[in-house]
Amino acid sequence: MANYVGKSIKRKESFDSIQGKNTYIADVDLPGMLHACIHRSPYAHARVTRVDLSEALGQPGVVAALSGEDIRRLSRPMAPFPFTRTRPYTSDYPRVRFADHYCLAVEQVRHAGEAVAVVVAEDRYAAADAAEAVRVEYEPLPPVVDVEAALERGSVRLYEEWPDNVQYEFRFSEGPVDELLESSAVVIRERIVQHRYTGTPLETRGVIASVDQRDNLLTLWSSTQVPHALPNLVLDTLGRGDLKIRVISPAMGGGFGIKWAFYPEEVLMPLLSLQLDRPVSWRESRSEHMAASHHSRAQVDYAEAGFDESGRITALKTRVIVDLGTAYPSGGTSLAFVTANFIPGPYRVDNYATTSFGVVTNKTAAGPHRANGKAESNFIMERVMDRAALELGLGKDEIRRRNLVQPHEFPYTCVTGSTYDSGDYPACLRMALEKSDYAGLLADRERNRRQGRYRGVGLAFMLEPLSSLRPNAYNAGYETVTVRVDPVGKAWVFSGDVNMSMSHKTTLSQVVADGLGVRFEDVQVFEGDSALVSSSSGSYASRFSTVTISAAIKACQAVRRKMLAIAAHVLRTHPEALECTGGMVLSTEKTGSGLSIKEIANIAYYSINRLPGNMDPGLHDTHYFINPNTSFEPDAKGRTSNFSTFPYAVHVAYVEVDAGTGETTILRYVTVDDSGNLVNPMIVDTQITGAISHGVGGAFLEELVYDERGQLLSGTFADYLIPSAAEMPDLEIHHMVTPAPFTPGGFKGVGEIGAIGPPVVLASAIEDALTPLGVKIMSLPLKPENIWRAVRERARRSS
Amino acid sequence: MQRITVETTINGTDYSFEVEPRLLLVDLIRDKAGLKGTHVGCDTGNCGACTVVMNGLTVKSCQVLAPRARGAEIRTVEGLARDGALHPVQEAFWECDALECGFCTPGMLMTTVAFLEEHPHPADDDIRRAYSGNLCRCTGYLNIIKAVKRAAENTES
Repeated sequence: MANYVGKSIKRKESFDSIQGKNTYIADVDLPGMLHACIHRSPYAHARVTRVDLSEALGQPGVVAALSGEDIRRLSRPMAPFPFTRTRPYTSDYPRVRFADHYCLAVEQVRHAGEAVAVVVAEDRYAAADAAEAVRVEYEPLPPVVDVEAALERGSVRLYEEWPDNVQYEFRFSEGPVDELLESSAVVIRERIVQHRYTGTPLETRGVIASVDQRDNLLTLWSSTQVPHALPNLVLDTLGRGDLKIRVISPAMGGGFGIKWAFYPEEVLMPLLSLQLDRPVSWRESRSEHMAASHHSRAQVDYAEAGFDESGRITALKTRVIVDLGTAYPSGGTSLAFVTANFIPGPYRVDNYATTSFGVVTNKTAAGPHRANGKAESNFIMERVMDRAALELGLGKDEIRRRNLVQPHEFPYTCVTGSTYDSGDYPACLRMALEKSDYAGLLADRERNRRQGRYRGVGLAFMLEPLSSLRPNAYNAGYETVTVRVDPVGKAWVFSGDVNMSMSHKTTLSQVVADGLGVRFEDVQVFEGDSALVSSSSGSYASRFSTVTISAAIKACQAVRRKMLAIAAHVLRTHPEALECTGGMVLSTEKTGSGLSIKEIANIAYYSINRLPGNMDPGLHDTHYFINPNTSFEPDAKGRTSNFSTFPYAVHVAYVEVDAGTGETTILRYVTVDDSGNLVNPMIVDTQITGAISHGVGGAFLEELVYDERGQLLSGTFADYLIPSAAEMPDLEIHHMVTPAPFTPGGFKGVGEIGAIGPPVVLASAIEDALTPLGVKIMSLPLKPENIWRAVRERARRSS
Repeated sequence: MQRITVETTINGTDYSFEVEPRLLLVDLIRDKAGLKGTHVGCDTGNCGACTVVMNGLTVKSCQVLAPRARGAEIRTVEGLARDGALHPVQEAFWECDALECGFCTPGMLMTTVAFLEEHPHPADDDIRRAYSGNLCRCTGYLNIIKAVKRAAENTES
């Protein structure tokens, strides 16, 4: 019964937030807590010949300092994440190599900003002073900066024990791709460059460790999206199997994927706390965050796509080269896997070949950022589709319409093996054209063109594979939720997720209130603590509303069954003749007959003599939910099906470009998405708006720029610009719904689809605007200077 | 290191602290006065999470040395709700879903309180310009713009 699900209920979380009452990691203050500060490498690539801590140790208030050599003695190389060293895949590819990185650099530094030494002091200011007094001697080595050069034979290698700089390799081929490309009416061949940017949550990271020596219990506070992965990783790295470990992820000021990793400080603080027998805290500065928390998105791609005369795709061949930076356990290899697997996107592609490399360079490690690998795969395919439309003289809408997977084909097994769950792609496209008045925009563009104004219409169709399952990974992909009705009749929900901004308390309360027939206000949600549930994959990849909510629904069903059985026994009726609603279990046959959930709880916990025979006391259930739309065993073609849910969207943008300055003004921005059923439409729209702001930033402003020596040039918010209110366009957000068939509530997940759109649709719109000048847009970002250069370059070549 | 006395008023309460002259105002507010609602997001004065109102004007408290607050009247997010009732600006942010993770929110709220005193009837473009020093990574700002206008209406009525 849906009393709450589907309604735009105000967020529970906001009440504390608007009063400044959340406890973020920087607000955790433990008695006797010490403060750590890290000394970081100024070089991108160098041998560390000497680390002298004596001056730092002599500073007032300093209690300890450690170098990489100390760390090598005290711990092991950081355990790999997300996969264990066991081969993660059952088929031949991907192939993954692991590197031995300690939590402080040993002998060699491989990116500017890598942690080299740590000092601990009585207060933060003293620790910062002492970190500056660490003396390190380096012998610079030639840095590997360009990802394609890193792939060349003879390139300097980052890891001497590896034969080359390839950390990850994936190859897949289905059908006679080369022959078909040879015989196609039109072949599009493009090199596509996607730039380096990342999530930059407003709250940086932080870690605090505290040890209870009597209980051998290590408590680790970390602003992490994966509190349940850390116990194994930290204990393996410390080599301390005798410890117990509890990880708490307090209120988080945004995550966006950057807090989905295993970071050096998550070993360093426990190690220091064990040594000093006091709590030790580390708080990341923004410049540390830019230089040492993971980056994302950077890749160079080659695409060849064949089309027949009617505009249908005959074959697709891609080569994906992801710039991973260093091989710290940041999960960056998943970028290469996801991109290569999902370039075909929402289109019917039967013949596909791809080679995908994750290549190490002397830059900060890459890892996920909102729409991990999916922002990239969609950008590649949509640029190809726009070029093909031009070449074939078809509209952008028409070429897409001719290639979309059709509604009757679901569930649709795509060429790389995953099964798209549901949808009506042509209807989504149709709705976007109607809502944006696409034809009207084209006409307006023509009128403006005649007056010498460069206006353009962009169209993009995005598919977002999400909620993946992976055996042998610390985030295997299922989810765990415990639902309990307590002795006073209130509902308690324990989830393995973390509270990073996605309104879990509100949406889980809606789902559980409906699931148990209790009031929204009577549901209490707990998350962000490894002690709450035994296992969880954490919060990422829009998976909450598919797996966590599904687990909650299933757990509610079990608790509800038990409440109905107790009530039926007491009221001498059948469970089928009862319903849970408004905190009561009521007879549907006899008006006025019923029990309150409080009365049922009283029986379940205290008046156990009134329970049906053989029934155990208590009202609770723990459910482990695996999305059934996946398979680990390779099929006849060697493919596994890892992703389970596939929301999609169409974005339309109308822009005007100033060809003299390269500046773009967004005149209209229209979206239609299918995220399945919506738990709370207001929260969904805020998520989409926020995700689009990430995409707008990635398209126009945000860029992690490295020079040829491997120095990061955009290392603060003064150089790395994220959008402010002034840069955010107004949006027209629309939804269509095909319920997800494999999740009990029909929810698909919505956190990322918005972030995919802007770079894709704005490149499409800007290229369209500059068509009279013959400008082609195949690289990001779309900064004014880049557009201005493209216009100049084109003019120079045609004169 | 030499220490100096800073006497200052925060949310109507008088404080006196012995501090290093280099202490930042944001650390005085957070660590000495124990008011953790004011946040630090960037260290360079770009993000605005540390915005407080000092003598009627918004300042980024990570860019102000604590001794500058001698004798000043400072307002932080903790001073907005009175006697258990939320401030109209807080109500408007909640109603309009103008926040998600809440990290930028105290700074946004303090900017709004000061902004509305100067601009009781703001247009969208005024808000967009005035808030360019307060970054939010979650909401995409559109609901914040709505909330500022809603707060203006609620304050008036």
